[in-house]
Amino acid sequence: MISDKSIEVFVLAGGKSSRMGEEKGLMLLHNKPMIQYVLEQLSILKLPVQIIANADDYTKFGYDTLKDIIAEKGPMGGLLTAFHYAKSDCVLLISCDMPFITSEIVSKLIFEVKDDEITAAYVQNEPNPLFAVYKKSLKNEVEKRIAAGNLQMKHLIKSFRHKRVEMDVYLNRNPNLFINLNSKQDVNNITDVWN
Amino acid sequence: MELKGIKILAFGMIAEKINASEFYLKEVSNTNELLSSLNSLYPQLKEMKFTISVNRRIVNNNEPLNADSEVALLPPFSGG
Repeated sequence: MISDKSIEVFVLAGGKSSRMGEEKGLMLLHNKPMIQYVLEQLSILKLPVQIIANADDYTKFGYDTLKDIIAEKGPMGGLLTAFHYAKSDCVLLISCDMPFITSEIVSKLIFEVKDDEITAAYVQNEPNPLFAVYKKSLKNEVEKRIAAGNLQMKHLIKSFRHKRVEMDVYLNRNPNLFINLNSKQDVNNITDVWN
Repeated sequence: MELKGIKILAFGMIAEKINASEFYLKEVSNTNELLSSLNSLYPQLKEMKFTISVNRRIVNNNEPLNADSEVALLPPFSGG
């Protein structure tokens, strides 16, 4: 594993969800904004954390909140923004809508970061681009992809030498772990039944 | 089994595809039968990858269901 000090975490909360009609990260889950669950788990690890969000409301969580340097480019734009502001060699991207992620799992991912340009969580044989660590050396590549309109994060991961961090064993213990809550119905389902 | 059947929760793009975030299915006693019923009722799901969880456990093999089973259809865990 590389030193924790060489990784910065960027929580992606850019853009409104068309399905939710409001900021995903601010949706309440048991009276707490969804992003706060993620931030609390990250705080346990004492890693440097910044939020990438275009809404000013996220500043209330007490972390530096950055706007995308190029708007409307989805997670690829978020990654470029992370590279732009990162002082470290590696950035961990994590989505704001994974409220059940735990510090243990984040730790597991970071532990596996070595020389590969990307270290990605794999769930059910697919990479999760929004729970992955990227080396800053990819910045030029990301810029090129954005310029070309090639915004598919999975394609970026699969195009490069990357480390797979298999997470199915954790998923089998807790199917909520990697779930993305993308709509009010998703939140209601979780709230009503999966207390 | 209660009259309404087993409650199924659908998340994310699965809910979008079938236009329902929860529904009930009768006369399914295991997850293989559940899959058959889903394929008949919602043929659009045949093309989709999704995971079934029962009582907060991912199902990899056929598993029995009863009226109290907590069933969820989960889309791929690919972020965002």
